[in-house]
Amino acid sequence: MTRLADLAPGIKGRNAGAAWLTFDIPFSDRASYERALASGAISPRRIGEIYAVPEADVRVFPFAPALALKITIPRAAFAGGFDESDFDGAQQFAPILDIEIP
Amino acid sequence: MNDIRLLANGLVGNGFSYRGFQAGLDRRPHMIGCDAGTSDYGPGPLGSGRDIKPPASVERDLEIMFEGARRLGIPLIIGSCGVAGAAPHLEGYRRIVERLVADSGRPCRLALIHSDQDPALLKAASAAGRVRPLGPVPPLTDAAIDASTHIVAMAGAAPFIRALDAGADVILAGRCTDPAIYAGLAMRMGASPAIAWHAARSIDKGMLATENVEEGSPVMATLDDTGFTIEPTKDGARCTVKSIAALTMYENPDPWSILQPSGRISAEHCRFEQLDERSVRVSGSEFFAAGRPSVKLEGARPVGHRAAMLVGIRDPRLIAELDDYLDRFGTMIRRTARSLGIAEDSYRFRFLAYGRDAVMGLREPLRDSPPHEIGLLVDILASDEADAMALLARASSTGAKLAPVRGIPAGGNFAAPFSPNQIPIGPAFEWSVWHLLDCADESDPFRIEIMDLQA
Repeated sequence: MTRLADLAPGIKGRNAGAAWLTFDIPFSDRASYERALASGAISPRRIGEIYAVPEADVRVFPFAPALALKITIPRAAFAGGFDESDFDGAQQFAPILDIEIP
Repeated sequence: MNDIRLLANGLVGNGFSYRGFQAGLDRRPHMIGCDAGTSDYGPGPLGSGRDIKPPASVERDLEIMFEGARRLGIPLIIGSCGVAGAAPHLEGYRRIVERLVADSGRPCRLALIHSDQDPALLKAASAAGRVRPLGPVPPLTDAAIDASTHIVAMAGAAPFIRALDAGADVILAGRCTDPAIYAGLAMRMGASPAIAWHAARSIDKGMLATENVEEGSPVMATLDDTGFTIEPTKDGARCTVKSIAALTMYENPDPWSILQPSGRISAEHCRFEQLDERSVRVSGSEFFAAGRPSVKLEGARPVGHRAAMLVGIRDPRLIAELDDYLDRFGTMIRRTARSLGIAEDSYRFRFLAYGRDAVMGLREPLRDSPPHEIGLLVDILASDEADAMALLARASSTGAKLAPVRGIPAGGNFAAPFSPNQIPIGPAFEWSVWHLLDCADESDPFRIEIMDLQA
């Protein structure tokens, strides 16, 4: 079983403004990038299921020059309120490490 | 157009390689730039008017860059001074530069770009329909403007071009976009907006453009008529297609559309090419001018005073029934507040259960996998510090003595790491303004102040 983290160990996430979270997924090599892309495993539907957000709110950008995928989803809440627990959105990417890539 | 060389460090106060910086100066750059700001740390720095970088590190970084810039006679441009880029932050940096001028004996013409927004003008702009929410935030109200301690606008390139036209040797800017400090100078020297903006975006995080970030190497962009080249200036550091392309995506929702006041940068049709083992060539960048400019507004307002404690919980019975325990604990805190005469609408509290779901909250997929240990953060926000600390102190003793599970006699539920264990966090802030301001000229929201500093 191959997990996304095996192909793209440098996954990271950040706020993209106060309303969005964005995950950058740089693959180790072109073969891994193309494999992940072709597998369809990183789809708006799958990401939407993991984070419980509507599929229509998930954007996935393949960025070939960086051999990377970029995923952008809405934050659970606008950043910086009383209930904030991750001001920079730095640790919200963890569940996507385990996505299985066929 | 002759080559334009931009020498970049990442963030004032985070340090950089001294040797790499001096090697960068040997390449005769046309400017030295360094960003100093971010909203990543939340609304605290803007609301409080305080820098959060260590003063000694800020002064060291500025001193080395100031000395290099004055020796070469090139502009030193610092963006978003003091993290948040409001008046008190800019004032702190101005004092440092005055001291550097006095100590070094090198006079300079200093330009200050003030990003603070006049509340009356902002209300008028809002009434005229020129202020739009940026994302899912409510429309801007006069009340939100009045409640804010500071409101800043993010400058694009235009105010920097004006400051350079005025002959500035050093530009200290309030809040601005990260790449604006480089793009202004590059466009003024003849670079196309597409090449200027994308090159600027590729160096504005300094060492993050390199593969070995821990080397702390400054980076240099060399711009010409057909594109730009990025390389680190410290021996042994490397830029790769991956490291440079990754920066284009970084912290932006959409790599095809990186918004600036005057338009958007797109890397959709870009070519990245490894020139040699350490430098990368980029071409095919695009810039689409906006129909009318708009600048981002950021404002923060105080919401009270905060106090918190972190306690460890190891009792597996309590951990198994944590939600029920926290329900009972919350009830006790509300009862205590009543007994202390703290009005119900004047305070809030929350529990964060580290080890379970503190980081991801309702999005946590492993919330039901029982941990063997919990770090419980008890966080109280009240209208003043006395109330927050009083409520926290009472919560501390109440929570420790509550039955860990219904029917089990109380023992002591909290492992405390400090003595005393209650921590005053200080004033707390929230974003009060997160909007876009449409303007006829993108320089309009900014005031440029020129001062000649004599040694």
